[in-house]
Parts: sequence; structure tokens; C-alpha cells
Amino acid sequence: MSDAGSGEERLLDEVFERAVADLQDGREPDVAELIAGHEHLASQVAGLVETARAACGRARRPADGGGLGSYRLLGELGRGGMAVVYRARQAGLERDVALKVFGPQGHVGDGERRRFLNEARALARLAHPHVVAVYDIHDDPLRPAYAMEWIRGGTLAQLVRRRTEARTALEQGAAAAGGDDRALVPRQVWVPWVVSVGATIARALATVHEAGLLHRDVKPSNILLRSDGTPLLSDFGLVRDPSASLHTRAGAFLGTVAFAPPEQLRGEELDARADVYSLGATLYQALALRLPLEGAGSIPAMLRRIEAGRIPPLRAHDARLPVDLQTVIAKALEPERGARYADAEALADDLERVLRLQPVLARRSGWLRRTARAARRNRRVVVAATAGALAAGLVAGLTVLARVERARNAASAAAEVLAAHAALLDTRLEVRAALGPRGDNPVLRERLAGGAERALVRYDAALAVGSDLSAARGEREVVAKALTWLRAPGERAWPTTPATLEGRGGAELRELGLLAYLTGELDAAVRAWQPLEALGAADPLVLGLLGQVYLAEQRPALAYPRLKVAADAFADVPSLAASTAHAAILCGDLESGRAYLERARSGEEVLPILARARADLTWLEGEADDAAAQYNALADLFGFQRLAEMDEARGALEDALGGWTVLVSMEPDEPGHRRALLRCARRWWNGLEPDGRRAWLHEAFEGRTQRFGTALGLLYYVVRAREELAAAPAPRLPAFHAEARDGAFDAEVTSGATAPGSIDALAERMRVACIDHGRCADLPEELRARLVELWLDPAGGDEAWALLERADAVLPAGDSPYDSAAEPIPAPFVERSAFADFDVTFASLLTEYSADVGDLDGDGRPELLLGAGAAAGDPPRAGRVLAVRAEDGVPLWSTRGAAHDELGSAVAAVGDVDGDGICDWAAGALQQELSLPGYVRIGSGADGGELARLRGEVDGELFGVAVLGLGDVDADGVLDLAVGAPRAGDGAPGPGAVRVLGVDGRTLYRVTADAGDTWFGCALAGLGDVDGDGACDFAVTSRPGADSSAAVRACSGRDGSTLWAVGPPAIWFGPGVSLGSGADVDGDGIADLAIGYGWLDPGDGEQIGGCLVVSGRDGRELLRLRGAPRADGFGIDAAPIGDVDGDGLSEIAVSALATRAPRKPRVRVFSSRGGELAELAELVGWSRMRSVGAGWVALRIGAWSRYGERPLGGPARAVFLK
Amino acid sequence: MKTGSSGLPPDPLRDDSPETWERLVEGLAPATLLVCIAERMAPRLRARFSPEDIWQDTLLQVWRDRSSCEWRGPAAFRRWVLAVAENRIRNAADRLNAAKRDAAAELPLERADAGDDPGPPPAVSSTTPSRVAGYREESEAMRAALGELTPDVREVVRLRLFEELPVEEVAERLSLGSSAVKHRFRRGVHRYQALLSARLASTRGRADAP
Repeated sequence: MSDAGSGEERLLDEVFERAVADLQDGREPDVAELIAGHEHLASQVAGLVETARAACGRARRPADGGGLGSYRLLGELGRGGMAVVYRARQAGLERDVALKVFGPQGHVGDGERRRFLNEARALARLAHPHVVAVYDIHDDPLRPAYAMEWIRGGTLAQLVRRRTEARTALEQGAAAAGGDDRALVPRQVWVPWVVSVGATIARALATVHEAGLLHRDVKPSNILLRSDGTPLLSDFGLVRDPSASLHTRAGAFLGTVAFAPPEQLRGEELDARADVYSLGATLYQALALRLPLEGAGSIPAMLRRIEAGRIPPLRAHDARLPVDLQTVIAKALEPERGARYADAEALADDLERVLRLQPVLARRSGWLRRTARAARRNRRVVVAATAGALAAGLVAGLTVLARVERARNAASAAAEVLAAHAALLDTRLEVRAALGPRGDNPVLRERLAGGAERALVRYDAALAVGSDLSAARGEREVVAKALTWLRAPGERAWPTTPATLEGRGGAELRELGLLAYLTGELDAAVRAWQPLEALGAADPLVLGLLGQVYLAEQRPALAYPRLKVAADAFADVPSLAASTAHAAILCGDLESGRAYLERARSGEEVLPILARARADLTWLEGEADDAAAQYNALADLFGFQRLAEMDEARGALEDALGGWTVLVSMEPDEPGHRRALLRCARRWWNGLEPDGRRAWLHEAFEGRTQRFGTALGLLYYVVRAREELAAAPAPRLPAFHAEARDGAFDAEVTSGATAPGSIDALAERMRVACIDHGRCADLPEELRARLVELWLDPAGGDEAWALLERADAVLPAGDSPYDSAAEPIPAPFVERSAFADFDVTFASLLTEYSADVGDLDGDGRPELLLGAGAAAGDPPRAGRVLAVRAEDGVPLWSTRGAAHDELGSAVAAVGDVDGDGICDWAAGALQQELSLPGYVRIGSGADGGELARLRGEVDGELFGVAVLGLGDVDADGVLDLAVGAPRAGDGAPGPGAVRVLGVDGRTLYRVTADAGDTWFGCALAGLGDVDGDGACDFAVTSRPGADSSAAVRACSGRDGSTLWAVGPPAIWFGPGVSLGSGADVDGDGIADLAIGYGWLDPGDGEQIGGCLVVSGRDGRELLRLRGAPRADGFGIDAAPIGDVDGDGLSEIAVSALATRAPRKPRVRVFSSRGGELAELAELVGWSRMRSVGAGWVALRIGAWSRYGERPLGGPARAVFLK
Repeated sequence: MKTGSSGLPPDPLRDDSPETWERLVEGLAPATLLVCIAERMAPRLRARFSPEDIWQDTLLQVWRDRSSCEWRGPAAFRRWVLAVAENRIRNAADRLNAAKRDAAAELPLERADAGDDPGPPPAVSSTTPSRVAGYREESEAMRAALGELTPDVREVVRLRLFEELPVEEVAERLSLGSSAVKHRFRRGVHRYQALLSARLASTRGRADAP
């Protein structure tokens, strides 16, 4: 071969050299310039430039400078046979686009180029919201291209692949270890979403077809998804030459064969129905997670399989998919195009019908067609069968018989489904506030479970005889799921309810609503069903249940029309008739009310709701005395409420006020009661003359403590009711119904201007919740008289407050914390999550605790144990221990103590007691009756179940106020723990102690305090092995002010002997002391101890909190931290939290629970050298701070309520170190 | 001074942002540089150090000395980097010889770690192990493809495409006319590109297989 060759060869050598030189010097070769004068070689030049680009471009990536016209190429997105798609930036506009460049091989024929550009233009004209927009066309002779919208998101194919992989892993049992499956949306969300994507893309295709275009390559990877999930049709295979058959391009087309219709495989002329088939195949794969025809094969083989009807029905892969959906997909996938949907529009319509639960137009293939296909599948069998049953008439007769049988079964199935609905409608609700959140009310729970059980029987009967009952099957699934939850012993994780209902299909909304209703989540049920109702898609079952909810919420105007529809459809459900009767009566339709009452009477004998409806009817009929007798006979909150209303109606306002006060205290969460109390209090106060008001206050004061307390209580309720009503959204209701009155009232409360003489203003002036009414009783009479006068004077509030403060009759609580807006958490701390759904009210100072117990459910993410010992409420609720996922508070399990237990007074991890490989726990349970000894429950980490119980020995022993897992200190194979047992309860006084005992209850030894130190043992902290004897050592403390020579004592875990002790640093004030340990502050390899003193008085009268950090090795003082003056509660809790600033030494976090205005509770973080690193506002480290994994967590137990009535309450919050 | 279309700032060596550094390093075509480095390393040296070691070390040195280099475009910058790499190879060879005299010593690569400069910005991914592994795989395929070329074109492609020597210099070194060099180069690259594609496709295919 000659080296230089002809002139043309030389020219090409030159061009190539220039292109390489340009690229090596970071420049894009100018193709036009290279071609200039040699246009006949244009395509070869372009090919050379591509080769040069590939040779150099492998190193110099497109990101480094490739360009095309005004586009800078940023990277390659994909490459096909005919084009490459780049991500590119458009100069000037500086927007990112997907640039599809035609002809990567550099062989662009004129015809192809023209077709490419024509079709790009047609696409650009489409401008459909679900077709990727074409922005710009680059008509370059060598590299024609067009710019499309750049979609940040993924493709349907990616989602399908992830789901398929998760399912495969699940089938192979590999999912147990991996958590990938959890990241996927639930099936009941996925299926309707896929169907809605199908409908959307079908509509987009219809538009494309109208414009005279065909897509020709619909498949999951060509359906792009914006990050919000909006689907877009992309990558039109428009440049494909219609005359080029697949056979000639099989290599380039293989990836798509699975989605191609048979006519395309045969290389025939295509029409819109080809795209219909491909979309059908796409949806088939997304729903079944399998291709319609699995397995590779040649195109002719594939064709034969399709034509023989070898595509399995959709439900062969997933029997839970709706039959209607299967029918629709099967019709789209008909091998003969004449049998398919005529166009994409028709497919879209049917898909939407599936979503709306309406009958679809598609029908299953006829008998003849299916038989023909079966015959093609297996000719031999058919021949034999036909020979065996030659009598065609017989076949026809059998078919008719089968049809009659089917019709009979269908009717019977429908009746059973209706009976199931009736059973569900029989699960009546009671007055709303009695329900509690999440079906906590056991009576309601039982009732819901009973209804669900009866319904299940009916569903099963229906499904046994009927076919095509996809809706009923879905309902049955929901009811069964709810029943499992309702019947679960103890508290189980809540069935997953999605956070948002937007974009969900009708069937899904219906099922979600049903699930929420049956599990007592009434708000969620209403939210799910409302859109269904708005679409006119709510059936009598949904309307009836909605009506029950509204009636329970005391919104009869909303309830009545819905209940009426349901009651007329289900005439023989007595409780439904009773509810409807009640709603009718409350809406003033007494005549219908009586009729429904009559119907209800014929059913069950005694229904509380019936008695209520009757009593209401009696009152409305004017028989007040009879009605009052009936209300009294009801002896329930509803009766009390009506009696208060009757009192109010007849002007006995003081009686009514008494009634409402009781109701508010019994049902503090019922806004109706608060509203009524406020209304009634205002009416009563406004009706009093000035002298009357003065006399009431005087009398209250003279009645000494109790009466004054009651008066303060009333005023306090007024303030609370006003605040809470102002915060709640006012309902919007028609003005002619009873509820409208409340709506108007709420509007007035919200607008809020109240006169200085009003009871609201009086309560505000008095700052009622901050008055120590016990101390007030001891005030001299003239001072009390002065106070009354000042309170009645609109301008006297401040002076009265000053007098009270001087008289020390003010509770140690300041002004509202609402004055200070929550401050953002500064870096490097990041709030990872809020335990938003986790509303535990903690009440007592000594009884909050948390413990990190590692991963309890095997998902690789650690759990956290929370103890909620004494909870607020009257009567106090039993204490609880909860396991929640540390990073986001998702509950795992929860377990309660007995009625008077404060289970959760302290919690600790104790190691694997039951041998299941999961860390178990110990929780203290003080008794509300403090003369009784507490106990410690050992529980399973896996499900919270009780494993053992360790009891206190002496009356008055606060056994379990602190617990600490020590591991096996005596090496006898039984895990041990230390339990604090101060003797501060109501019993024989004595020194406090720490008992170290095995989980089997055997006491190893006791560490006892000096005589008189009753609070010894109130806090414990682990130190690790300080003395090197192989056993975990621990620190124990007493309470400030105790008569003790040592404030903190470090004890050997082996035998309890004292390792070192720290004396009290100063005169101690305040309610408590805390110990925190677990990280090394001084770098000696041993965990150090933070001792928090809530208040510390250095002697100058100022109360300053403090935190002393001492060496875990010898008690040497490492650091002394002080809070701000004015009793900011600094040190109420303190702990080393691990290394935050990267110096290898642990930082210390200290809670400051501000007690004076402006009250800004916070957690402050200090470096190991004492410098302050961060301040986390609005965080109360009331609960202990614990490290969890790489970060640490602090639990915020809510904000202070305005007047300090409930010290702490509300959601907990986790803060992690980033 | 050229800015080209590379998206680099006017004087990228005075711009310490991680993005610019990343772009600069990527613009060097690290895989081809690894081929050049491997070609320069004696077999005895290659037994102790991999070309990637030298490459990492070179990058560190380039970062430290960047202020002493005047920006005259990507090609000049690449030549300078290659010169630095040569120095590092020589250093390593010297140390290897010294270590032979002190047989007990474990031989670390003497890092260019004098001074307080902590090294390139940590955000740069060009030097992450996975990226370097990618370069190595690519460079091995390149060397193999190069090796399959006939001797008459192999040297031309190596010098012109990898060493980025100008045509004239290649011609001089190989005692050829420049038109012959250009022709062999076009033919050679065409062939090389085909061999390389096949090789990369097969290694990636293997990597993707279950």
C-alpha cells in the first residue's frame, strides 16, 4: 500500500491531522471550515472528525469542550443506532437541554436528514404537556440535531427495574437482610400510578397520532418521569425509515422486540394501533414486572408465540390485580390489530375507567377467538377434543348452561358483597372526643373488629361464588388488614398510611379511606373519601361511613344527607337507621327522624344512639323535663353535655358553667366543650353587675384555697379555650344549620377583640395559671382585697402581679414562651426528623428516659427506647415504653404498664436476655401510690413483651427510678443490672441504695448510702471498666440537698466498693441532678462523667445552674460549666456526646431549661476545653441525650404550655450531629 | 493565552477551585498519560510501583508547583505534566537503587510532601481510587490495542496520539516524510480505534456479567 496515496487521500490525511491537533489543544474542530471547498467529501470528513474525537475524546470528555452550534456538550446521555443524545447547555439562555444529534457514524444521507428534521419540526409543533418538548432545531448539513427539554428525573424503566429486582430478591429470600424493598412505594400505590401513567401516555399518543406521526418505539425507557412523577413521552423513533423492515435491522432493534406488535415484527405498514400495542406491553411489564413474553427467541419464533396467544394473562403473575385492568391490557395486546383498541384515546378512556372503578368497555376475548388461539397453541389436543365431541349442539347447550350458572353466581356474589357492606356500616361510632386517636378506645376497637369480622365472612362467601370481583377482593384485603391490627395484642406498628393522597386513583382512595376508618383514623378516612365524593364516585357504603364520622364529630348537617343515601340503600341496618334518625332530628327534620327511629327500633333492641336520638327528639318536641330525665338516664358524656346545654338554654348559667367545666376537664380535646364553656362563661360574666363581679371574686378569695382554686380554674379554662379555639380553623358550614352557630362563634373568637371588662380580659390580667393559689390563701385580708380591686381595674394587672411576686405567691413560671420564635438550629447540627406522629405527654421530672438499644428490627438502623413514666391526664395514664426508629421516630412497638404503674420511669439496654440476638431492655416502674415499692420490667427488644419482673423490697422504696445494664459482672452467665432505690417514697425513711442484681432476680450486692441520704440512687451512669477487673463500673448520685458527704460515688461493678467520690461543689438548689457518661472528654481512654446540677448557688443569691465534668478514672475535675444568671435551669441534664469538633475529645451537651421569661429552653454544646460550640434552641434535654450511631440524639419533649400548667408535652424531636 | 472551548477560566492554574482542577486533570486524558508513564517505566521499577502510583505522585507535585507554570493552553500543560511525571519516575528509580543498598527497608514512594500545602482540593474525584481504577482499565486496553498495531503505524500513533508530539517531530524521529506520518497516523488511529472499542466492549461486558 502506498503511504501517501492520491490527492483525495492526502486531503483526508490533512483533515484528520488538523482535527486531532485542534482536539489536543482543547479546541473543537470546525467541521464547516474543514469541508470548505471539498463539499463532495463532506460525509467522509465528518466521519474522520468523529474518529478523531473518539480517539482523543476518550480522554477529553464531552464535558471538556465539545460543542455544536450554540450548544456546549456536557456529557452523553445515551446512544442509539441512529443518534446520540447529549446533555448540553444552550449558550445565551444558559439552559440545559437534551441534544439529539443525528448520524453518529457520519453517514448522513440527504433524505434521512430531511426526514429527521421534518419530524423534529412536527414534534416541535405538538407542544403537548406529556410529550418532551422540542425547543430548537439545529439544521447542520453534517450533524443535524434538535434540542429537547432536559428532564431531571428517571424513566419508567428504571422504576420497573428496581421493583423487579426487589421482587426477585424477595423471592430468593435475600430481602430479609436488605432494606431496598422499603424504599419502593407500596403495591397499592404503584398499581394505580402505573395505570394513571398509562392513561396519560395514551392521551399523549393520541395527540401524536392526530398530528400524523407514529411513535413506533413506546417502551418503559422512553417514558421519562419528572422528579414530581409527571410522565413524558420521549425518544420518537421517527427517523426510522418506514420501508426498512425489522429483519434488516434486527440488531439495532432487538432491545425493543418485546414491546413491538406482531405487524411491526412482520415488517408491515404500521398505524396508531401499533403504538397501542407497545403501550399495552409497557404497562404489562410495569404491572406484572415481567415482559409479556419472557425468554429470548428469534423474531419468527416470537411472532408465532404472540399469534398463538402465549402472552399469559396479567393476573397469572399477580392475582391481586383488578380483572378489569387485565381485560384492558389484554385488549391492547391483541395479536390482530382489528381486535385492539381502535386508537390510543379509547385505551386512555378505559384505563381511566379502571381508575374510577367504572365498568370498562373492553370485554374478554370471545369464546370463539380464545378457542381458535388455543387451537393454534396445540393443534393435536384440539383435533382430539373435536373428534370426541362432534355434537356441536351439545357444546352450545353447555355454553348456555354455563352462562346461566354464571349469572346466578354473580347475583349471589353481589348480594354477599352488599351484606359485607351492611356489616361494615353497622360499626357505628360514638361521640368523637371519646374515640381518642388511632382507635385507642377499646370499646370502639372491639366494635370495629366485630364489624370487620362479619364483613370478612360475607366477602369470602362472595368470592367463593363470583368471579370478576376485583373491587370486593380489594376491600376484603383492606378489611382483613384492619382486623389484624385491631385484634393484635398490645400496640403494634400502625398500618402504613400514605402521607399524601394527591394523584391517587379512585379505587385506592376508597380502600385507603376504608382502612383508615376501620382503624379509627377518622380524619384520614375523611381526607381519602372527600375527593371520591367530589368526583361523584362515592357509593352508599362510603357515604354511610362518612356520615357516621360526621355525626360522631357532631356535624349533623354534613352527616344527614350522606346517611340518608346509605340508610335508603341499606334499609335493614338498625344502627345506620338510628344514626340517620339522630342526624335528621338534629337537623330539624323531625318527621323523617321519627320514621328512621321506627325503622331502627325494629332491629336491635337497645342502642345508645337510639336513646340519644329519642332524648333529643323529646327535647325538640318541647318536653324538657322528660328529656332531662332521659339525658340523666343515659349517664354518659353525651347526656352531661345535653344537660349543660339545657341549663344554658333555660338561663341557669352558673349551673351550665359547672357542667361545661366538668366536661372540659373530662374531654380536654373536644373543641365543642371549650367553645361552649367560653360562650357560657362570657354570657354569665356579662350578665353580672360590677358589684356582682366583685362579690364573686371576694367570695372566691374568702372561700380560701379550694374555692379560689376553682375560680382560678374557671378563668384558666377561659384563657385556654380562647387560645385553642383561635388556633383551630373555623369550620365552614351552611348558615341555617346548628353548627353554623359554632362557626360564627369561632369567627368571633378568632377576631378576638374583647372589652377590658370581659372575663377574658380579667383572666389575662390575673395571669391565672401563674398564681400559687395555695400561697394566696395565707395572704393578709387587706392584701387580698387590694388584689381584687386591682384585678377588676383594667389597668391594675401589673401592680397586682408585683404585689403577688413580693408576697411570693407566684409559681416559678414566667411569661409565655410563645414570645420567642423558634430559632434555627445552627450548623453543624441538623435536625433530621421530628417524631411528629408521636405524641407522648411526659409529666414528671424524674420519669423521662431514653436508651439506645441498637437495631431491634434488623433493618440496619438503630432504634431508641423511650420511657414515658408518669403521663399527664386525670386519671393519669399508665406509663409506657416505646421503641422508635432513632432517625425518624417511626414506632416499632409500644408497651404499657398496669393502671397505676409509671412504667418507663427509667429505661436501659441490658443485652440479649432471651437469646434471640436482639438487645433486650429494663424499665423502671414506680407506683403512683408512692408508699408502694416500684418494680423493674425486663422486656424483649424484638416486640416489647415482658420477660421478667424484679420487685422492690421495702415500702416507700423508689425501686426503678434509675436502671443501668452492667453486662454479666459476676460471670455467671446471667446478665446483671443496677437499679436505683432511693427511700424517698411514702414509707419508713431510710438511706437510699443501689441494688445490683441478675435478670433472674438474684441480688448480687447492695450499695447503701450514708444514714439520712434518702435520695441516694436517684441517678446512675455507666463508666466502663475503670478498675480493670473486667466488670462494668458505674457512678451513682444522690439528690441535691441530701445529707451526704459525697455527691457522686463511683462504684466497682464487681462488688460495689467505692472507687472514688466527689463532694458536693456548693450549696445545692433545684429539683434534681443528672449523670451522663459514655464518651471520653480528657482523652485517657475512659468514659468521663458529666454531673448536671439544675441550680447551683455560689452564695451571692443568684441561682445559676452548673455542670461539673469529672474524669471517669479518678473523679478529678475536668471542667466546670455555668449557666446564665436568673435561674435558666442550666444543667438539668448533661452528658458527654462524643467528638463533634474533630479534636478527638468528646464535647459536652447541657440542657438549660429556662424558667423565667423570656423562657427559651435550649441545649448548649461545649467543647472539651469549655468553649461553647453551639446552642440548640427550643430543645429540652429533659430526656437524656444519648449517642446513636455516628451522631447523637437529643429528645425534645415539647414546648411549655403557656401557663406552665402542663410542664412539658408535645412531640419529641431528634437532633443528629451531621 | 488561549481559552479555547474547554470551559476553563483564562488562567486555570491560578484558580484553586476543585471544579477547575478536576477539569484540568480530566483534560489531560489521564488514561493516555498512564500509557505514556507505563512506557517510560523500566520493568524493574514497574515491579515495585504501578503507573498509577507515579500518576498520583505526579498530580501532587503538579498541584504544588502549579504557580511556577505559565498557562499556555492544554497541550503545553500536558507536556509539562509529562515532564513532571518523568522526574517522578526518575526519583522513584533513584530510591529503588538506594533501597537495594539497604535491603531491609520497606520502600515507600517518596511523596512530594514538603511544605504545608495539603495537596489538591479533596473534592476532586479525578484522584479517587475508583476513578484511577477506571483509568487503569482504560489505559491497559489502550496499551493492548496499541500493541496489536503493525510496527510501522504503532510508533506513529504512540508518538502523535499519546505523546502528542507534532507531526514534524514524529517525522524527524522516525525518519519519515510528514505526509507519510499523517497518512500512517490516520490509518493507524482508525485501526487502533476499532481494536480499542472491541477490547473495551469485551472487558465491560465481562464486568457486567453476573
